Formats: sequence, structure tokens, C-alpha cells
Amino acid sequence: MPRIRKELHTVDEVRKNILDISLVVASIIGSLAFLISLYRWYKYGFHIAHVINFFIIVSVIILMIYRSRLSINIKTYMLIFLIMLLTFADVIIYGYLSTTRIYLILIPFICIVYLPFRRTISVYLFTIVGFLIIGYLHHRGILTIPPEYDTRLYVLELYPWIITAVHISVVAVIILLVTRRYIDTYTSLISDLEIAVSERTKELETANKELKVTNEELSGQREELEDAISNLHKTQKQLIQSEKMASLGVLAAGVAHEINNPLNFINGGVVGLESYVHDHLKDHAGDLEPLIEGIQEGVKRASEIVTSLNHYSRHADTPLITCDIHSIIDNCLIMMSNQLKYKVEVQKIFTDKKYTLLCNEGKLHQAVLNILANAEHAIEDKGSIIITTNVVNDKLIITITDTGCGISQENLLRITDPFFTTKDPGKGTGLGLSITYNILQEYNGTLEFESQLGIGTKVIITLPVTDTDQP
Amino acid sequence: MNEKKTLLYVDDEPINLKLFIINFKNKYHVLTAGSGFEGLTLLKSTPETRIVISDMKMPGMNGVEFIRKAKKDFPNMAYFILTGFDITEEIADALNEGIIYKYFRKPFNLKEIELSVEEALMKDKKD
Repeated sequence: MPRIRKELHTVDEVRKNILDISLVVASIIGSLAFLISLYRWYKYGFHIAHVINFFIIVSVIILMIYRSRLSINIKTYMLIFLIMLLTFADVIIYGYLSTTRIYLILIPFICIVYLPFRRTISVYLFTIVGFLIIGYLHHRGILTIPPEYDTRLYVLELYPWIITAVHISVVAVIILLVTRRYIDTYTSLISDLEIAVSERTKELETANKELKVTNEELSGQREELEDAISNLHKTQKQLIQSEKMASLGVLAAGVAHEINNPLNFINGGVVGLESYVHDHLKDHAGDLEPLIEGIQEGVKRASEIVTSLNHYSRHADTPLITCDIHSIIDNCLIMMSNQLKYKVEVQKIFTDKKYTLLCNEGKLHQAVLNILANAEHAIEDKGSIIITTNVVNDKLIITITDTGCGISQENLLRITDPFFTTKDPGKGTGLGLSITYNILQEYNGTLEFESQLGIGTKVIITLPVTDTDQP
Repeated sequence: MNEKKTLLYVDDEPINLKLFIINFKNKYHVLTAGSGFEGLTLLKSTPETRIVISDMKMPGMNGVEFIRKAKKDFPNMAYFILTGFDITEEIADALNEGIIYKYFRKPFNLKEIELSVEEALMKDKKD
């Protein structure tokens, strides 16, 4: 932008310049013309025209000398006035013989540089109408050419040709210089503009590129944000679940103590009773033993439930050791072999990929056992359980698929809730999967279920592992 | 060996104390205390005590706090915790430092306690 403003400034200078050029040219060549016109004086004697011409040329010279001090407007109107005065005086006196009428061309030419277009037209119309009126006055004989001028002889003279040539030259040189000046200025201005435009274009292209980069960054950030939001949603879900578990843990710890103490009374009483019967009531032992056993079984069951509740109280300090998931699974299968044989066909598809799994072996054992026990319970008559392991992207994935009764969609949402069970009263506590979920959570693992009623259930456990041999 | 060893049981539940005496009176000479403070006083008058078993959650002073104090004055006794809670950090620390020999869960298992106590006494004898 500053460059263009500078160029516009230059155009303004050129306009001023043009006026000065015109004044200089007019003074020099005008003086020459005046000197030549003095020949008329010599040939035809003194005439008022010589005084007017002298006044005009002196005025032009004064204007030229003081050109730098005068304002453009004054110079313009003065110049136009002088041209008109010169031309009209000449035409009034010499009529058609006038040689300065060519200067009339300069009037619109100078006007258009400094005045608005309409004003220029008005000035020009005034000029040309004035010219025609003078012509008409000559035609009517109201104005007459001085008697000493013989028009027929005058046109045969040489000096009018010379004077005309000088006048044409004044006009021609002014037009030439002015036009050249304009062309030069505008050419350089345009080339400067082109440079400016190309620079601007470059700047815009750079800015555009930057914008594109920024845009890409922004869309990248947007994707990251979306990821972060979905992660947050996931985490929130997990937090809600673990919060449930945590408050359950506090509750469980309190309840455990409060129940264990009365259980201790019962237990202590029964133990005492048992030895008392053994020592003193041998005869009644047969009658009393079933009663004692019943109490003992009740204490045992209640105590087991309380013990499993204790899994909800968190133990961040349980030692982590390197676990072999395959031996844990095998171990669980051995423990369950009694329930499984003749009923369930177990198929193992174990990975031989390298990994290191850090967990508490006992807890992991319990987690796997819970799922296997559920799979076995789900199979009513005969069926199969497929156990697979795999290592993908630093995750150990264990799937346990059974051909059991399946879990309904609404129940799927609740199976990890504590105390949720579909088993008959006394057969399940509803804590198995809840505990399993809790254990896996503790080791940053996940527990997922896919199930269809009547077809079977697939349980997917993932656990983070290290030292995998994957890239 | 035939002579009954003296055992102190500390618990804030009187029923637990009563039942403990009934169940263990044949094997040990059982003393009982209803709190850690009572236990400490009792130990001072019966320094022949070999075994101390304490509940964990008691008003005023918990089991581990009581045992830490008792262990200072009577380092040669074998200390146990019998608790209705799962193992806590405090109990785990005491176990690791050797302040307590073992911890039992309520409801108590008679056999387990008897075995552990014998084990502690045997070890004590060897030392």
C-alpha cells in the first residue's frame, strides 16, 4: 500500500510539472514568436496587437519565473486566461489571418489536467463559441482586418508560415512533453503496481499456506479433542464402576467386621458345644451332631460370603509377580476337573508369543476360575468351552467361549454388579463376576461379554503386558 | 511341656472372651482382658505369660498398638492378632517387622490357632 500511495503522489507531481513545462515552453517559444511578429511592426507599422502580445509574453515569463511560488489553480486560470486573451485579441485584429488560434487546442488540454471534466467542457465551449462569434463579427464586417493588410499578398508571404510553424511547435512540444511525461509516469506506476500486486499475491499465497497449515493443525487438534472426549467418557464409565466398587469396599470392610464378630460367637459356641457333647453327652451325639453340623455349615457359608466381600476393599500393595496365564488356566481347569468331566469338552488354543504379565497370581487365578465356573454353570447338559490367548499391541487377550444358555441383553449390563445373580438362592452369591471385574480393574485390565441366549457366551479379558516381541 | 502355658486373650466383646476361655481352657491357662490398657496391666502382674492373642478393633487402643507396647516390655512373648477384618496395612507392617507372629481371621478356627501357637512355642524353645 505505501508504494501505491507514493506513486499517486508522483502523479500529482507530474500534474504540477506539466503546468511548469507548459509555462517554460510557452515563455521560450512564445518569446521567439513575439520576436518574429515584430517583423509585422517593421513591415506594417505599429499596432495595438503588439502591445497585447508583449503584455501576454511578459505575463507568461513572470508566471514562469514565479512558477514554484504560485498555486496550481492560479497558474492554471492565468495560463488559460492568457491563452484566451492572446488568441481572441489576435483573432479580433487579424481575423482569419490570425496564426495563434492553434493555441485554442491548449485550453481543453490544460483544463483537463487540472479541472473537472464538466468545467473543462464549459471552458472549451466558451472558448469555441467566443471564437465563432468573433468570426461572425468579421463576416458581418463589424470587425475588420487592418487596412494595411492585403490578404491576398499576406498569404503569399513566408513569415506567416514561420510564425504558424512556431505556434504549432509550441502546442506540439507541450503536448509531446506532457504526454511523454504522463506515459512514462504511468508506465512506471503500472510496473510498480504489477510488482506490488505480485508481492501482495505472494504474501497472500504465503498467508494462505499458513492458514492451510493452521487449518490442518486445528483439524488435527479437533480429532485429538474428540479422542480425548471419547476417552473421558470411557474413563468416566470406569470411574463410576470403580467408585461403586470403592464405596462397596468401605461398606464391605465395616460389614465384614460387624458380621464376623457374631459369627465368631456362634463359632465359639458351636466349638464349645461340640467338645462338650464329645466329653459329656456321648449318648446324645447322634441327635446333636446334625444340629451342630447345620450351625457349622451356616457359619462357614456366611463367613465365605464375608470373606469374598473383603475383595472389594482395595489392596494396592499386593505384590506383583510375573504370571504365566497358561499355567493359571491349566490350574483352574484341574481344580474344576470334577465338574467338567463327562460334561464339558475343553479346547485350548494358546499363543506362543512372548509377553510379561505382572499380576497377583492368586487374584488372577480367582478371576479366571470365576469365569470358568460361570461357563460351566451355563452349560446344562453337555457342551464345550474354548479358551484362547493372544498378544496384540501390548495386550494379553484371553477369550473364554462356552456353548451354554447365554445371557440376555438386559442382564449383560448388570452381570458385574455385586449381588446380581440369576442362579437359584443359595447357589450363587452374585459376587463372582463383580470380584473378577474388580481384580482385572486393579491390574488395568478389562472384562467384556458377548452373548446370545441359547447359543452361548464369549468372555473377553484383556490385560496390559510388556516385553512383547511385536514391533 | 505338660504344664499349661499361660495365654492372654484381649477382646472388647465379653462373649468372645467367655467363649475363648471355654474352648481353650483344656490346653492353656487362659487370661482375658477387655482392652489394651487392661491387657498391659495384666501382663505386668503375670510375666510368665507366653502367648498373647488380641482383637484388632478395640476402643482406645487397637490390637497392633497394644502389641507394640507390650512387645517393648515383654519381647519374649508370642503375639497374634485375631480380627474380623481382612488384613490391613497396619497388620501387614507388624507382620513384616516381626512384631506379631501371625494373624487369624474371625470366625476363629480352633485347629489353626492351636497349631500356630504350638509352632510359636516350639520356635521359642529352640531360640
